[in-house]
Amino acid sequence: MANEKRKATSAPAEEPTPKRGRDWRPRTRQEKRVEFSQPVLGTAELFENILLRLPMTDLFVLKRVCKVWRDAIQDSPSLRKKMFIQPCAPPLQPVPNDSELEMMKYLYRSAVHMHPAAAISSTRPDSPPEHTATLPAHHFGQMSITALVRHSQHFVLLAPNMSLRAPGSWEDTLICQPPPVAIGLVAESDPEDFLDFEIHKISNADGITWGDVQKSTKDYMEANPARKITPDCFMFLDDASQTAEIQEAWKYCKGHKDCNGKCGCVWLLQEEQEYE
Amino acid sequence: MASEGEQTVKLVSSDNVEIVTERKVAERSMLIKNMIEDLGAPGEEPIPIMNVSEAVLRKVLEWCTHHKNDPAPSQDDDADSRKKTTDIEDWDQKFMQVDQEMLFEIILAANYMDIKALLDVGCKTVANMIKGKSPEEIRKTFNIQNDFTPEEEDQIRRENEWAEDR
Repeated sequence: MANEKRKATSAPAEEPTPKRGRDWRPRTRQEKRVEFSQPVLGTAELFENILLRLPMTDLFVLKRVCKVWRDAIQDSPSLRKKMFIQPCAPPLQPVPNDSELEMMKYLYRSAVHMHPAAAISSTRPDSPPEHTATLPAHHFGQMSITALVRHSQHFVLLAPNMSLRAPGSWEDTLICQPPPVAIGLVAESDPEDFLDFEIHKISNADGITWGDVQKSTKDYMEANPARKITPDCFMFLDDASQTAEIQEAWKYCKGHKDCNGKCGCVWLLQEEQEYE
Repeated sequence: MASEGEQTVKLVSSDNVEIVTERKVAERSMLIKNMIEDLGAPGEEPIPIMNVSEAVLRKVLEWCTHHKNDPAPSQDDDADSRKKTTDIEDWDQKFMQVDQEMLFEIILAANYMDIKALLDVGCKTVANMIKGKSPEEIRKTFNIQNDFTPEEEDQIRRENEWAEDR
């Protein structure tokens, strides 16, 4: 009875390591290494456990190692979430609310992970333009954006200039985790007049990807050739009802951009690439 | 009657070697802990650790001895924080300075014996071996055959070019 029980509890989990006879010897150093890394790297659970600790961009690069790695990375839900290909939680729904701040709180009630290639610009309505801060999003990492909003009344998420990039897997990545279902793109009519602009809404019920941003921007520019759209600048919002507040925020952002690269967003975005 | 801390248990490795160790040390392994609870009479009946050889079992127990007084991790920070980091404390780092054969054996043993913290250290160690390396270097490190045609590999490289320029 006791023996039977012991057998049951100590049965090997799923994949027992191959039995090796007493006289088993690895033939070469190389074969030996394969023999021992394979049971670990070939077990989906352990492979995930290891790869989840790496930076997000590494995972895209590692798809090149071999077919087994490519498939293991592509098929793992937790790695897909880490790669921003699959939402880590249900997409964030905008709420009809007059207050932009309230909506942001709703969106970012829980910590939002920004896409590592994005950047955030934040402004206080009462502070002069030079106090606008633009930081790579990974500085905020897992910081709750509610906390960020508390510090700054407005923020603008700056996309790396994706429209200039060659087509690629970045198009499938979500702009943040969990992704919002709607954002507004800022489109100017006249670069000299900060206050004349409209908000072009982009939505995707499954969560907005960088590909959505790029495509929507392109379509909008074709349909409205007179408007000058800034493809790397957009805001989280549900509709354009908070125009006054947005105008205020945008004014600072715009002023910041005019600093000719000294401390401007564009410059930071280029530097950002070196970070990741 | 002996107090719990002084109790010993007998473990038997896959190659049939008996190792006597402190119960508290052995119970870092949830597999052993559950077996002891099931058996009811610790110390008397030897506990077979079917998938782990003597050399690896001794190494695992060395780790368990050093960490026998660690507080049990709470479920919450387990799920969140452990995945993120690749930081390893000094003692563990030295402990993991073994050849690849032993490293992977330890990971398998920690997985089989259900020792989360050790599995964690093992996976971090391998993650650090991968981090920042090119696919070519990784193939070399783990002796993995590149089974892509040059065209296939180039296709994947182009698709992920944005992630490659680091």
